[in-house]
Amino acid sequence: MDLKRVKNDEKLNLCRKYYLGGFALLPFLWFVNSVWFFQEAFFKPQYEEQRQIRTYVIRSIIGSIIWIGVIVTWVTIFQLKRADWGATADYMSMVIPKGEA
Amino acid sequence: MNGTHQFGCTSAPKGNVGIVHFIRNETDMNWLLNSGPHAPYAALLNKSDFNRATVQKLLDSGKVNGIMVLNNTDQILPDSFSPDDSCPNQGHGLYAKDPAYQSCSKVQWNQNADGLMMMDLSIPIFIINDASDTKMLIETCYEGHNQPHADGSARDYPLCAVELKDRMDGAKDSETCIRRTRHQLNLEPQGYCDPLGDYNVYGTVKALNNTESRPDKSVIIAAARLDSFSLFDGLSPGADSAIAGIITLLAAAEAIGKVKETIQAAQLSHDIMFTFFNGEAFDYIGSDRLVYDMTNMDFPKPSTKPYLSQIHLNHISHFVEVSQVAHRDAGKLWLHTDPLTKDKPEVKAQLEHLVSLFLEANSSLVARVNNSNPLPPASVQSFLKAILNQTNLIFPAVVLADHETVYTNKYYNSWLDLRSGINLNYTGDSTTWYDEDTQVATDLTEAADMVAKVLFKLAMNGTLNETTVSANKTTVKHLLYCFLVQANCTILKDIFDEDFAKNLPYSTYPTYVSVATSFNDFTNVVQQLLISFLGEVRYNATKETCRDNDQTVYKYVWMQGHEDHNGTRNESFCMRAAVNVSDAASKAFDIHDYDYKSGQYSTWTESRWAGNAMSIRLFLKPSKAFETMVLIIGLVILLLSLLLSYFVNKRVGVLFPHVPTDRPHVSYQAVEESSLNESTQL
Repeated sequence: MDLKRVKNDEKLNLCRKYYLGGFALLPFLWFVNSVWFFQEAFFKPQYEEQRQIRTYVIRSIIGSIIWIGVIVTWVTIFQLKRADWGATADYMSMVIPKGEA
Repeated sequence: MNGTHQFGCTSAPKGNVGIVHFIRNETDMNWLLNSGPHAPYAALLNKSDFNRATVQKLLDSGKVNGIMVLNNTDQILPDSFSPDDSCPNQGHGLYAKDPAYQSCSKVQWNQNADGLMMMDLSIPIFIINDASDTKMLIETCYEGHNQPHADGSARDYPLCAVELKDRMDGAKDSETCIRRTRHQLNLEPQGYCDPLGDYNVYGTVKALNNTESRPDKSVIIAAARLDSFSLFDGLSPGADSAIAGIITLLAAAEAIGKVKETIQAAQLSHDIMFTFFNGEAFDYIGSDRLVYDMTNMDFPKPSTKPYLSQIHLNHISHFVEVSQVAHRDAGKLWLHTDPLTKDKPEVKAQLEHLVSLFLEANSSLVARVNNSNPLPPASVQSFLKAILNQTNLIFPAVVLADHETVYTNKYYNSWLDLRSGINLNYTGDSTTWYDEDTQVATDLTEAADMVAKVLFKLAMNGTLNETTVSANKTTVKHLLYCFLVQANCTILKDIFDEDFAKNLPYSTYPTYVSVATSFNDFTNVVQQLLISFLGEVRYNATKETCRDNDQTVYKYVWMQGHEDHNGTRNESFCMRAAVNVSDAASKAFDIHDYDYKSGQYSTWTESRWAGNAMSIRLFLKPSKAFETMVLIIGLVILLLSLLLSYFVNKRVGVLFPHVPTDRPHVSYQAVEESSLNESTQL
């Protein structure tokens, strides 16, 4: 969808839906929201709904960063400790590398 | 892998690349370790230099990432080589937890061992069998490109390199790889390893069916082991480690088979069960499993049809095991007994009697080992371990071997345990080898003869003279040829049907037990031989009716019979015998939550590998500087061509004067505007 062609109240509605949806453990919605509405929130000439959109975008950005931090930390820990965790790690894995402990 | 460790060779997923360096002597070795500047190297070794000390030195240097071993027939063998432990199977068996005898504290049986098989090498080791490959490696590759100059300075690039690839999929230990193989979340399941195992072969003389009662202590077990191993896939000849014992026991079975009616007719005679245990080299897989099955009333497997009367531990009266018997130690074979059970009042007299029967049968051939020495590694240990604390079950047991203390076999469980190691050297033309008389044949016949006489006397409780029982030397000669020269031989062709006989290989069977998913041809061959020696011909059966109809006491097999001088086989026949196979697979993999570190059952597994995981490639490798230069030139050309096409695009008007350069941009805007207008109208 091209935001240029969407009316301002529609934009706010959309941005709010993505923002709220992110709370359902869907960090990608926040991430998409932050990228998609970034220009709208910070670089477009002012309009009525922009303040609200900006709030949602900032919160989405914060949420995304926290999520990225959490995921990166987990992946790092898992990759480093997978071999040590033995059976527990195997049961968490979909694909286990061949020929590695 | 076993319950706690991984062993052996593997490579990086795409193979290890090293510069070929041929190590012919100490100087070559020192050059590689001290001066060779082009690491990593792939070491090329003569077979006499391949041992743990050399491999360890190469590994420790950190400059070697692969090893190739030349298998030239003209090379001399090393004086000894055994990759097994110096105390084989020490974590299992009767003495594993016995304070007085554990870890071979009395006798280090396999003193020539260097334990190479028990190392986690983690580099590829290949054996080069082909003569032209060998020539290529040495002459074209090494001498042509890599051999250092006379003054010891290294040659310049390009150097001849080899890529050795044998990537293994399993890792860590059996517990891990079995768990991963069984726990699959993936839609395309992938395996990591498989348990080792195959089948034991057994055959009884009296063929009692399940409605007939089998008295306690009425079965004599005569056993040998079927398997050996080596570091190299497909090269496990096991001449003394396994084959000599198998042939001796088969020849004894043939001798007993000829008098089986006498034994069957006698009311109070003992039954004899000839048993060939498989997977014994890997912590007694086969014998441990048979003990388990006997304990759980599962041997032979019950069935709704008539089946062989079951044999449990209480039915065993004696145990005679034929171990390695190709050599002689001080001119004799030796009778080993177990010090933990020998003095129990229940068996003391019987054991003395059993030993005296051997001495009576051939006093110049056998002698008894000092009876405070423990048994060497042997299948009977699995049985004695199970009944050690049940004195009513204990039976007298002897192990016949060609060593009094340490092994006389210098190549125990190795790829060099060849016929040359047991002095099976033929003198005539290779077409006459099959019938050629050799000292080994004489020795094994003598041993088989003695075993058969003892078994017969035991079975008949000494009521009949055993002079009618004698081993056939012709059979021994033939079997030596079939097992140690080539399996495609007359006796094996005669006892199989056309289909199997046609596919008998022109090589020897490897004795490695391998993974439990297939039935080894070698096991099948031993079973068929046992049927032909213990069985009886069913004259009225045709090929179609020669089957195990509604019973499992007997196995029926069709044999195509001997070829006459016209090349036709007119005397095909059906034979049946109370012979069958039983599982030789460890219970460790069946028991839920089995503790892999407990040492109760064998935990050996073999890693799987991908279809393309094994390869060797030779090529010339240029220097790092040259490789970098080629890469940089490539990048420069890429950049130049990008720049070129950019400018061509910019100046496209020069080439195509009529194309307006800015048209696409305009049209795009136009479309966008028109669609915007539409939406505003709506």
